Amino acid sequence: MSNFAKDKLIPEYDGVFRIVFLYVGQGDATLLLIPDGSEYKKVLIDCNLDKEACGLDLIRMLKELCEDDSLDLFINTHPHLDHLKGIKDIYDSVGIESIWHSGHKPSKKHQDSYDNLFKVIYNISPHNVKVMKGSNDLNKVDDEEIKLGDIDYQIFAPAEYVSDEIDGEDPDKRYARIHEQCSVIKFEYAGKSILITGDSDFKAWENHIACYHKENLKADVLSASHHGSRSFFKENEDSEEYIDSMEAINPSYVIISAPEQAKSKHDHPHDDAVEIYLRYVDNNNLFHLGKEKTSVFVDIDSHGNIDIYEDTTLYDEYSFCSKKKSKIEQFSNIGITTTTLDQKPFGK
Amino acid sequence: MYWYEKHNEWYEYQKECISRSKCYLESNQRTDFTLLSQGNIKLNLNGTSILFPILIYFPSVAPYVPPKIFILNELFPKDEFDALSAENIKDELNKRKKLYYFRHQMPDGSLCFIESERLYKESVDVYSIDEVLSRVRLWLKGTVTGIFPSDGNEVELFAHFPHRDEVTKILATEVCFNGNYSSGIVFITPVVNLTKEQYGIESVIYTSIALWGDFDSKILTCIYDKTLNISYLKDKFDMTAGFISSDKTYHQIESNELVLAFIWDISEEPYVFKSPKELIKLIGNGDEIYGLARVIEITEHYLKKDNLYFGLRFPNRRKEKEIQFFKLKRKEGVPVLFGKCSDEELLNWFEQHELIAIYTKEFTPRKYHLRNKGLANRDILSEKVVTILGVGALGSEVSDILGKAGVGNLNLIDKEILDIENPVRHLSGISCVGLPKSLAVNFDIRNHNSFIKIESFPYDITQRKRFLDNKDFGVGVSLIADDQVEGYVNEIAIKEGKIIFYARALRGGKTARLFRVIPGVDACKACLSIYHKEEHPSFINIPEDKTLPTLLNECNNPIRPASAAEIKLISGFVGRVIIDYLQSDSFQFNHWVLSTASFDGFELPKDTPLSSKAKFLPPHPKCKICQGYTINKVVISKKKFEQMKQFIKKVGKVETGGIIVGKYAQDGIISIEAVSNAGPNAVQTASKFEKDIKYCQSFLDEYQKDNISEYLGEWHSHVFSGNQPSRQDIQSITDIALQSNYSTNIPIMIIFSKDLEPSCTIHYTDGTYRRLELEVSD
Repeated sequence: MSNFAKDKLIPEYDGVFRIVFLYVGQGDATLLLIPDGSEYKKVLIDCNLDKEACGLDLIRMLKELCEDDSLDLFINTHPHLDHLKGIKDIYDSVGIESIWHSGHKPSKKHQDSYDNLFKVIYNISPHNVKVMKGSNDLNKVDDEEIKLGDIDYQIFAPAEYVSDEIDGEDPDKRYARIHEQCSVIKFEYAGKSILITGDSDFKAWENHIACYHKENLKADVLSASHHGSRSFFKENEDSEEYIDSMEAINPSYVIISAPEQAKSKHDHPHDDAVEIYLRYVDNNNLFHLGKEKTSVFVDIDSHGNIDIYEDTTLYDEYSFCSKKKSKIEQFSNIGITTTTLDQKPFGK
Repeated sequence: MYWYEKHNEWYEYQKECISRSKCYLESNQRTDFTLLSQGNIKLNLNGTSILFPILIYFPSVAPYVPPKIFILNELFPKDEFDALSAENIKDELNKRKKLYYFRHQMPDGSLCFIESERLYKESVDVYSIDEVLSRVRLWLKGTVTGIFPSDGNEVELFAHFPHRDEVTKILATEVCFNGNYSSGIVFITPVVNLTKEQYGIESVIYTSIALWGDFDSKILTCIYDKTLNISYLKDKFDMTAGFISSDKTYHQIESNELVLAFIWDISEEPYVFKSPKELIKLIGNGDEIYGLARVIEITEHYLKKDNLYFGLRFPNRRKEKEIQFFKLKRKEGVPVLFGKCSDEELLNWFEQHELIAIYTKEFTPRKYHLRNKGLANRDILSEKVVTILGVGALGSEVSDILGKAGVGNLNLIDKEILDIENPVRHLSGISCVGLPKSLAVNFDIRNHNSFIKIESFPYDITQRKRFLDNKDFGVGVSLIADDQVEGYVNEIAIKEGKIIFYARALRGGKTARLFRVIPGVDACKACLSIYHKEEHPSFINIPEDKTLPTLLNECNNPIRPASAAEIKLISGFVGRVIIDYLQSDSFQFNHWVLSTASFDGFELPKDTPLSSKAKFLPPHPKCKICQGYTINKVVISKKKFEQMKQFIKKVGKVETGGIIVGKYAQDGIISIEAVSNAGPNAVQTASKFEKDIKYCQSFLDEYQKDNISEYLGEWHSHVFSGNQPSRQDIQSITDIALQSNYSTNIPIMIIFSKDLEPSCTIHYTDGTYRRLELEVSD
């Protein structure tokens, strides 16, 4: 049966790699519809539920999308709550076949969200749970070659040695270095690519990623790290910029997953970070999801055409704040005669 | 009241969607006579922004009909946009439309894919402008990338050409799909011709009748369409091997009774194109010069015509052949081609033709019956023969249903003429008044299905009983609704082993009875009378509704009242049961009652508009008609058998005989209980025997008074001849079968030859008889 989520999210024709940056407020959630012959694999990278910022109710949307099946894969870039919120409910109501995660062991402070991820991992066959490690090879995760439909991917981070090093730290240090141990993955299809950076910070890029993978970092679409935070470029507002990463990535489009800046408790996206992004892309090609509560669709077809567009209908249909009932409910009375009385004088 | 006043909430929502849309950048909006907006669809493709000017027009029946999107060359200047009105918008759009020559764009520049019915959904579907705009955006992206969302399996190529012939339609019959030739000349002929003067609309429907593809052999042979059962076409044309070279064909081509159309196989489904040169390139599978060579190969003698008909035969999305015809109309002032021309000159000459797409549809039995698929299996039904007895109101509708289902052979029997009182509930209309009903219905069914064979017999079935003997009778459906005639049909059909369904509308059409009679398996019409008299629980009695008027025709025959609504309902039910029977040959029921109202003995469940009951009734053990044709043996005890021989020996050289008394058994056996002798006053000579009636009656009464046994027939001896029934014997025993004073209409007769060898026969009302085994038991 057709429904809004399927109609909207599944590509209209075969052979399209669709990436949907979902508006989830202060957090990240990216849906990949990966071509697999005439079918599509459904992959979710991170998840968040943010009622305050009127984000999308991912659970409702994914339940409709996966009405007849489940998510093929959930990828968690790092176990922060704004990248994991709702994971247990998604698993319970939608189902998840496999999980890839960064392998970070969080401190007690973030234990709650990790616990939920752990519960999901516990329920999934161990063969389907992979720890992401930086690799020089395509389609390799946890030292195992696994193909994702018709596309290719390469995991750049976290490097194994970084994870080992952070694992040995005390809890506070581990927590402080979580963005250094964040997963970074590039997906490629028909000669076009998209780079998912999670919340990876400049330290990770400077010390572990750019130096080892510089030649492979070029990407057409960049998901701005850490909701457009300056942490991708520098320690703080006054610090020196690190832009070797941007030089290597050299994107045509940048997508920032953050609420409206005024409503972000971290002021995301940071103005100085946006200014750096705009050095590389045209204003028309920088998309800030929270600005007008849009989701951004990126369609790469089998000929390598890359089509990018914003969408407001997912918000209308699935936002926590959408006051409208679904359109079908709202207008289901069309065709039925209803009466609204007004005063009409009668008699002489 | 405007739509936006009536559906104000929807209107406001649509305006909000337009303003919030991220793919549509609105330039101007009007909200007076309707919601009208113009602006640009924005496409961000491969790093570049592309703008496509469009106009959004909400029709006056919004939101039931989705907004229309017109693709423009450029936006209207503000003052011109403001001057648009319901009256001038069509003309103004025509000036600014941009045609892309891709599927789904209409000649007026609008896009056609917006609406797509969602089956099995009862509520009204409304399409919001945001959904529409996202589809428009996707289509416009396709104009750049060449990749469009898939359309499903139906190519419907014609619908996507902006320049289409509004008059001509071509039905491509089986010959067009002949795979032996990769190109050829198709002969098409008009079968329907509606003129503007008569019908207010002009329409000419052509059908293909022959294909000439064997050019190399120089033998002018042709393939004809044999699937079409349009008999007048066969008579009209010279459908012989000499078709191409005959004078008749030549004149028919000259007078446009026959039109030549040229077809070529191409390797792929064509895209939408706009010029003759592109068409030629497609014929050459991408090579313009090769295409030209293919075109000239078969058209060079026919290029004088003002209009050339070119067809592309291509593999569709189901890997089947599909055809699309085009008309190349020579533009005014363009001369007829003369002399030898170079390829370039030829191409330029063709280019000076208007390219017009022609409505082309496959018209083959397979395709034609596709929409019955799953419910009426053409493969099975095309082999079936159904004979309809009576094509009145109900019979004509049932015939039509069976014809549309694709029953391959229909025989229509009815002696009546279509009267002016008939069309009000009959399949045939006023135009057929005065024609035999069987012929009128034939015309109408043929108009619905040209791929079945229909024969009309304007006969009185009672005068043409041999028709029922015919092997081509198939399954009969009697809708005569006349007890006498149906009684006759029943008897003959049982005898001939024919299967007949009987249906009639009762109680003013509120109720209908349908029953099937497979001889020896089902209760026949006579059986039902016995079941009725016995008040058998499986027989549903349908009492007459005395409140209804009784109409009589000129012969004082009652006309059963029922309006067309009831007739259609009942015919649908009857048609369905018969189609199911033809397809499965098995049924657990043989007797159905359908009713839209309760009556004594049939309670319609509460809140149920109609109900049906199905029963199974076997042949009644007392039914002489059924027994008559299932009986195969007569059993007599040795004592009774010897008794007859003794009677014969006793009288010496004269004939003698008597009556036979006994019982009909269910398993096809007659058991003789007693035989009388001739009686004291019998007439007995060497060549004649007449029993003593008084004596024999007294003998019979002894047996039949307590229903112990009944009269079975006669026995007698021959003195000089064998035991074959004589002419006199047959005459007398047939009379017994016919006369109502005898309880049987299937009397048996035992005749002894001069050597006392017996024969045993069973006799029917029509004078025929058959031999039975006479078993003498110990």
